[in-house]
Amino acid sequence: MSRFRQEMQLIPRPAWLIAGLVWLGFFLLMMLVPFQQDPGVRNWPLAGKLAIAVLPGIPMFVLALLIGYVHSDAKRRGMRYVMWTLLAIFIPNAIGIILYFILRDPLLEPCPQCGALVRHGYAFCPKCGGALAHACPQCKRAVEPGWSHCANCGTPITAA
Amino acid sequence: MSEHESMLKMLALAAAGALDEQEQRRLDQHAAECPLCRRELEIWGAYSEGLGQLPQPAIPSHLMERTRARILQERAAAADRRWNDLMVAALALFAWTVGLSFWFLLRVFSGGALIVMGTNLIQLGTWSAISTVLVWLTAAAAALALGKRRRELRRAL
Repeated sequence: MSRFRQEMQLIPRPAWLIAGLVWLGFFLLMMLVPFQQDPGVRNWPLAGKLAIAVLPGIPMFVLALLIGYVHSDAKRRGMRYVMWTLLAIFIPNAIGIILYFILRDPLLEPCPQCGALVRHGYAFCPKCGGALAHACPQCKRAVEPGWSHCANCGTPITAA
Repeated sequence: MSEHESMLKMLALAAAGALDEQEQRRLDQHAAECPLCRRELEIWGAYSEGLGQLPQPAIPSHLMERTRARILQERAAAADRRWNDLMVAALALFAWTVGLSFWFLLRVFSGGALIVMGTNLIQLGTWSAISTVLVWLTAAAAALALGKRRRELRRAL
């Protein structure tokens, strides 16, 4: 399955429903308002009338789906999903969603011993205490491969 | 490369038992006729035997699972970064589309004129300037607040 399909499956059903209703709302509004207010529009060919009714709602439909995606994705990453959903809704022009993609945390990782999902960067599993990554012998914080000293307390790693 | 040179390169592999049947037969035939290769093969054999007698370090429990999980995580993280880059680029275009859609809808529903302090906000130039400034100010404030919070979380980790 492609990555795009996998990510699409994250969008919750209520978001699809809301997006559909948003599009329908814009469709009905565009069918009623411009054709009533502007007599010139009434003389447009059918294709033009349909385009003016159908197209403006599409970005709003996609926006609603993206907000649903942000909600589910932030939840699975252990982030503050309510806050991110609100930011996605209230920061205009989808800038909140762009910020989300720039600032989102890495995916939670399964502990190889107990399978619990834990945050990226932990040295030990908070559920079973199993080692997840190399840890500093002094302060027990995670150290990266290739480090000769702990970045937190300066303890030589190889001397441990 | 002569037969002798290619056989010399295979000696270490032969001592490690990594040659297939055909290669081993070729090497045995050559070593039977070449005293230099025979001597080298004996030395490599002694090394191999000696290495086998060295004490083996105890493998920590769950090392295989941990290593496998680490490889999968790194691959997933790399795929996630690529996906993020793609999405940010697509969303930058989408943000402009949404901005233009809002302008269009406002224009339709306001009948083409939304006068505030003597200025028609619906004119494309005015609308673009106001919305760009407002959107980027909001985004910058949100990015600063979120970035600060993220740095604090990282420091605490």
